[in-house]
Amino acid sequence: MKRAILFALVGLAISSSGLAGQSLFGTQGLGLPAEPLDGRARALGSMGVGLLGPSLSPLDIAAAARIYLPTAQLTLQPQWIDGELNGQSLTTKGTRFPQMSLAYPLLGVGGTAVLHIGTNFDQRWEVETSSDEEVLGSVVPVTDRLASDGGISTFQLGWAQRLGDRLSLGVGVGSRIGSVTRTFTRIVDAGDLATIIPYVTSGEWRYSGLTASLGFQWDPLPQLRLGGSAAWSGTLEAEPRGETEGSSTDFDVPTEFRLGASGILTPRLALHVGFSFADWQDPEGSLDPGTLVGSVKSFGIGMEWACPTVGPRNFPIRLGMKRSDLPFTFEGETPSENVFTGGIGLNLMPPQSGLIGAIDLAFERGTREAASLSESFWRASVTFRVGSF
Amino acid sequence: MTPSMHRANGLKRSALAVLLTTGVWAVGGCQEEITATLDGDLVPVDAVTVDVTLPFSEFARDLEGWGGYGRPHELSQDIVARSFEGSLDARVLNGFYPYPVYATVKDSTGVFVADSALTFVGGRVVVRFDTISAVHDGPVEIAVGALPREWDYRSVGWDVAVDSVGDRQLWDEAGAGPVIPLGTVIWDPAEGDSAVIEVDSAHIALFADTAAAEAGVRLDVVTEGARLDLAGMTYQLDTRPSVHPDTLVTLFVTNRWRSFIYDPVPDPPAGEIRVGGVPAWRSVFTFEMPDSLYGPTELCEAVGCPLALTGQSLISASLILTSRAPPAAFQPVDSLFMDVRPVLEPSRLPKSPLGSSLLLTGGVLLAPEDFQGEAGAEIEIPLGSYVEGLILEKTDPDLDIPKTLALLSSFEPLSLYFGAFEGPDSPDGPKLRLILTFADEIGIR
Repeated sequence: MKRAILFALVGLAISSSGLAGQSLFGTQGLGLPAEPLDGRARALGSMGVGLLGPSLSPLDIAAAARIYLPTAQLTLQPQWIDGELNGQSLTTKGTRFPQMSLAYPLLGVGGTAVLHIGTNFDQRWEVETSSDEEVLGSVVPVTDRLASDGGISTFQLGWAQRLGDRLSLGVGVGSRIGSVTRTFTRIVDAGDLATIIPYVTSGEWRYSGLTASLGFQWDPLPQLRLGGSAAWSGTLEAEPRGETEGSSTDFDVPTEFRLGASGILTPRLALHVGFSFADWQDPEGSLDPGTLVGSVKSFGIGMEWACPTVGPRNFPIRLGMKRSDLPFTFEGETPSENVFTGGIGLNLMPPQSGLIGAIDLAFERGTREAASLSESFWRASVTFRVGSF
Repeated sequence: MTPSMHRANGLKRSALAVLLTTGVWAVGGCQEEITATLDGDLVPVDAVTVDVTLPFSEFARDLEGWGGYGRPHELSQDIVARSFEGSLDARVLNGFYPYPVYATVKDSTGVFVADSALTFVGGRVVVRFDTISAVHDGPVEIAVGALPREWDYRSVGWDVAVDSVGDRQLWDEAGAGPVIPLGTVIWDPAEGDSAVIEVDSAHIALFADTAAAEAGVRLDVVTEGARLDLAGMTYQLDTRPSVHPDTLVTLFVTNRWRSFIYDPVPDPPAGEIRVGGVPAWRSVFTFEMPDSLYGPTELCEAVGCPLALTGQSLISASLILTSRAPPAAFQPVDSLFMDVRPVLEPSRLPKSPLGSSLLLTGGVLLAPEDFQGEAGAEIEIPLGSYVEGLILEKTDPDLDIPKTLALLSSFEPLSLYFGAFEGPDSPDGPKLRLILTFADEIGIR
């Protein structure tokens, strides 16, 4: 049973890049950052670390130490984007699977083994431009289309260890996975002048590279939890596949630091804040220095109200907001993403049932802006979490 | 069931309902809409599209015309003509099976019986024409005569009654003559599509002979300048059955074979491409694609020369033919479909087997107007996949693309008329038109 779940998750991870939505900000650098957050973290505007209660997140590897049941978790993320570039409007939508995780506690040693597959960069986008060209002595319409399909994800194995009642540490190692295919298509519409097929040329690259992460979770007070993580990335290598010409391309991906804190304000109300930082420099890599913004900071704040209950089950309501810098410029300007978040947790199994069956829903309304491009979007996150002895 | 079990079941049901609802909603967003059509420089790939036209000598060689495919009897319609367009004569020959030997009639008790004691008291040949394709204004005179000798429907011609291996028999008179006149009739297309030529009892008796019936009749049009398409011919006999002598019964004599002969036969094509006709013509040539292009100037300015041809850059390849008018009597009066098929064993021409059509549509539609008057219409025959194969073959030894192609009518034979195109020696000779696109190499950065 557990093997079947594992294979299913890996299969989803492999296909997940093909289901990603798009943003035109993804046309820059390594694509649009796509954090592997679950529905609860999204709803709270969190960076994914320092949340109250047990959680299963590749960004907070130590948090799994408080999971006492073998648990599987899957997050779906549909999104709908409206944008405007130089007065031209665009609409896109799509779904991705930003996070899939398994946790297997070994109670005898006081820790939990975890497996995470999470997205890092969304590289699925497609743009078209139209022009005129003289063919066969006539000016005919020409459409150029560049499509990018794929993304960068991380496959991570880790261990979270409880050290007493208040402290947990986590460590994980992993590998970048994913690929991207870029396809250029030119369609010449010569009408009755000639029978013309589209011109198509493409390239495909597979990503690889080592990653490692460390994290902690500490409850200095019964009403306060602190969490943090550092995610190191070795050189990200993009290796040509198939008939794609050229040599491998290396990218320097910076270490990312995340901090989060949660405090219990009342027995049913909690406050959460988070912050993250990464310094995007690529002195020896292949990213155009002009596209790198340097320091990338994000912060978020949210509240969780655990009042609504039905019998032994509770349905916490969450609200929050988050501001994130994007690491790659657009037309020379630094883009940022601002979102208002909200959501609800559906804990379908009562705590005493010996089962975990929960759904976390999150809704985000956000904007991204830089230079002549602006986007507003709705993003939903649905996390399914099941656990059992 | 205990209350706790009820609660547990209720929990499971509500959990399942929530999971299903949420899953359907989430997966509903999976439908991708990702293309953004935008003006501006968001496609960081420079591309250029150019077209190149190669004369016949630069892409092919050895144009030949081959004829003799199919016979007139294979056509669905036969033709009669007299000095059509000042030159074409055509006659229809129709042989019959022996007369029926019995008729099924009711006897005095109302029972159907086979009556073999027949007395033929009259007869007629009924011919039906295609009034739409008939080329003549007003009534025309039709003549029917009995053929005096046997003929072979598969090889019969204007001069020969039989033309098979080891057996060549000429008509006594060119044009399947002489015939024993059976009668004539004036047929007015305005009054209907059929004409009836009465056959007298003497000639009815003549055709009672099996050999004479097999020889059959010759249908001719007497009016100068007329050309008619025969849609059908029947020979009907009137008989009085012995069981009911006062009743007239009409019997049909079954047609055995039919064909038509015509004169003059077009000369073999010289310096032209010809497809169609009956027997049908095919034009065969051999592709010899260049490795690189050295012009024209526009191409070299755009992408540099010499330019190595690659399959990837090829987005269109078409054979361009310029139509010319065939002799007036053989100009198409309806659409032709021209096909292109590889010749699999050129050394066995004209009997080489052909490969499958290179055209997705099974043929290029040729309008009759393309071959009338000044003609000169440019006909595009798309050969993109084939030419791409020829280019790829130069670097892929596993490919073996037939180089010799046949241009032919999609259906052979289709008609007496045929299509003609300018040959390689003409300034408007066959051309190969290539449209190429070149783009920057796709990168990941």
